[in-house]
Amino acid sequence: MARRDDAFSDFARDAWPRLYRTAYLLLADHGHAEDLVQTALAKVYLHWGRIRDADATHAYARTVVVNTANSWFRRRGWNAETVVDAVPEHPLEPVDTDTSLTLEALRRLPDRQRAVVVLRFYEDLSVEQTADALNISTGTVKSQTSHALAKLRALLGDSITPTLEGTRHD
Amino acid sequence: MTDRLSDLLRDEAEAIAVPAAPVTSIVRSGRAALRRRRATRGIGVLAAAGIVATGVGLTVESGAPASAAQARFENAAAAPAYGTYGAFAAGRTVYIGNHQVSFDEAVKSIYYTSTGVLVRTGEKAYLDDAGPSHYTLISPDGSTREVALDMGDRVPATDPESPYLGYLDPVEGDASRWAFVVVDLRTGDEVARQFEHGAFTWGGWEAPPASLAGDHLWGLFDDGWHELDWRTGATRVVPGTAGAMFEAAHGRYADSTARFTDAGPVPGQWRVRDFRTGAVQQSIADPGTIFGDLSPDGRYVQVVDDAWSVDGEPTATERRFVSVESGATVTLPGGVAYGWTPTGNTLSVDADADRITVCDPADGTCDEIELEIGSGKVKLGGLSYES
Repeated sequence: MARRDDAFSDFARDAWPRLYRTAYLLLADHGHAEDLVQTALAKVYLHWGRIRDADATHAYARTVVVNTANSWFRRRGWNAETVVDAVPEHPLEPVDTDTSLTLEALRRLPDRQRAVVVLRFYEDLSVEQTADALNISTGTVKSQTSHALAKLRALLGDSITPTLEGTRHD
Repeated sequence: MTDRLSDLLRDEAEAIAVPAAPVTSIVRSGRAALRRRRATRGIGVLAAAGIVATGVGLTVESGAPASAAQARFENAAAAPAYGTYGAFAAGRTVYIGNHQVSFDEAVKSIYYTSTGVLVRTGEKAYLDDAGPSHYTLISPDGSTREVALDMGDRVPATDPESPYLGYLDPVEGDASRWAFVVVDLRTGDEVARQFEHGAFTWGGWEAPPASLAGDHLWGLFDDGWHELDWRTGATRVVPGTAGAMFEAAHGRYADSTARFTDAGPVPGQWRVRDFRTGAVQQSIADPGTIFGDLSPDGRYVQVVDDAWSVDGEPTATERRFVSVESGATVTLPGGVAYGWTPTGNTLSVDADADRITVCDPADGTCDEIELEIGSGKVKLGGLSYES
């Protein structure tokens, strides 16, 4: 057990920063992000030893983070205070000095659109990989991406995402 | 191009203040989860894919104890063969007695009830996906009826002697308030919904996992099992269940005095207790590495030794089954996933060999039944597959 725990601890320490950043982008809250990654890594612990390949373990941990976040999103009322479905008429101004425009814009996306953006443009997953991670169709990923980018353009300006055609994310 | 968005996100992410990894806390939580959650995902290995199903022809293998097996089939014919081996799924097909039912979705879990099996299906075979799940009741005669349930990532409870399903439901806007919900599967009607308070932080589900027997529904909160008599509305916290693991069936629950410490497991006793009285009905020596899996009728415990070798392989080579009533123990081969029939016999499926095996944990005698089994992930009745 001790050897097993040592190996897992090394992995958790190594995986934590990346998973935390992904969780923060998904949840826009440090406390929630920490809870999410802790919960996800505890789930990974349950399966530790059954996953041999280090890269696969990282991918598995990320999947657990996303699935767990999805589960939280499905809770009624989750994060309702920060989600703004309607596109504002004017470009965004930061609501506080500690939050960048990009993060604030991300916060204003609905949960699923934010998840799609994070997975595709931060984790650099393909449409298919994103669909698999979120357990939605590739068509939904594309439509959610399109809606999300439209909102980000409205919030941050056209220069942020002028077009999707021909990019590697498609 | 969208590369600019990627660059911005990466720059922002790099600027996020990342706290130190609470590794000790994570490992402690993982150990606790190992202890508290059912070991269904860790029980043995899932049978591999087999041959495409062409029918359900039940025959008695020549080497098997024909008289016992034949008697079971004769009984099964009288009260269809649901009682023979219960139910299991291979891929998108559920095998229940002499019938098979194919679904458009993957089978996630199979729950035994007195009115047949409730089958949970969805896009993926595992339970912790984004949903939605769909529910179908399959009667022992093979007839089916959809049941309108929207439970999300919750852990429902059934009992092989009850036509009801119970689960707990979070209350919007109040993280400490929950609805205890009971549904009559014969009609699909919700027959009880009572609100209770309690803290639930130990599991990753949307609501505390449930257990059901008779008129009682239990939910496992941080401070132990909360009990509802859904006929009378009486509630209580079951004394002495703080920190109990999630293992319960047919009015019995389990706890363990073994502990995990940073220095390793401390041995103790894995105990089966009565919800009503709290009396210890059976104790099993627990070196700190075992899981117990109660049969759906609560009469037997499948003891899974989850000790691991240093290279990450389970070390147990056999599986023990203990009678709750007498403590008598029988041993069956390890490396096999054992589910249950509704009446407490073990059920294992070898899809490659087109064979199912039903063993009586009272004496270890087994019947081998040849059955053409389709391809896909095998899910056994009597296991929750919650993760």
